[in-house]
Amino acid sequence: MKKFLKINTGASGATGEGALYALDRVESISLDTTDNAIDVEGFGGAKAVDLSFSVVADKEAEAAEELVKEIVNGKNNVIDALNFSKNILGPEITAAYTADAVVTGAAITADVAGAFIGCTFAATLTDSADATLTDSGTFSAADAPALSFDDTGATLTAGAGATIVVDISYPNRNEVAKSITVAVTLT
Amino acid sequence: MKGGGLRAPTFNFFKKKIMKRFLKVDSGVLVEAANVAKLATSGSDTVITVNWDSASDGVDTFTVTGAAGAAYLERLAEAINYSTQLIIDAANV
Repeated sequence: MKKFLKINTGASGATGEGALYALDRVESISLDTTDNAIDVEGFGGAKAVDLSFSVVADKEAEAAEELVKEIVNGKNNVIDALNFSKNILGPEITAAYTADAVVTGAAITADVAGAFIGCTFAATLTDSADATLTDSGTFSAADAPALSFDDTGATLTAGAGATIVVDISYPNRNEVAKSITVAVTLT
Repeated sequence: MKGGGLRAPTFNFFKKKIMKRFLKVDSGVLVEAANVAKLATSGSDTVITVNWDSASDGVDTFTVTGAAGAAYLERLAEAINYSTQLIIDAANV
């Protein structure tokens, strides 16, 4: 049986049109412990990594083994990349957060590079005095979605030393697939 | 024992024959299904990527016009595995 791994297109790989990767074409699986990912090659790229999966931190080896087991023993014709393994969270979210170095008060917004359609996010802005604002929701736009922190009633300390942490998860999964921290200056 | 002893058990070995299937794509090209590396969509079309020779990076892509969508790709994957047709019309599965 020729088995396919189903990954939806778009930066998130969480929603949208699907692409199916033929598992019998896998040539190599390598561990990326820096990014908590496994890199898979063999689906038509010019000897480059064709796709990467975010995995549970420090579980790269286990995740690679689970993928190999699915390739060899999997019973399904089409395997959903978001659901077949407890250690493989989904296609890697590679885009970096691109908040401006300076974030202005009143309506504090910051941009994310790339789209993560269908993924949920939880963002926390922490100023230098450890006061926080949060924002959460589901990315729904194909273009770079903006984080928006409601600062009504809040008193933040202006200046450097603030951070924004964005945790991104795949739909119906509790694990954080990508956590991004950016230093910002509040003005 | 009467009747000439034990009768040797009979085993029927049916060697399962893997059927070679071909996908018919645009321009009438027939792509052997076993070589398919990726099925994807591009707008309203299906794009089939094939690795001809991984050692030399031989990669080709073929288009199936007017057939697309996640559900369609899954049907195509099913046809690759289970179709009784030797030639699968990739635009009509």
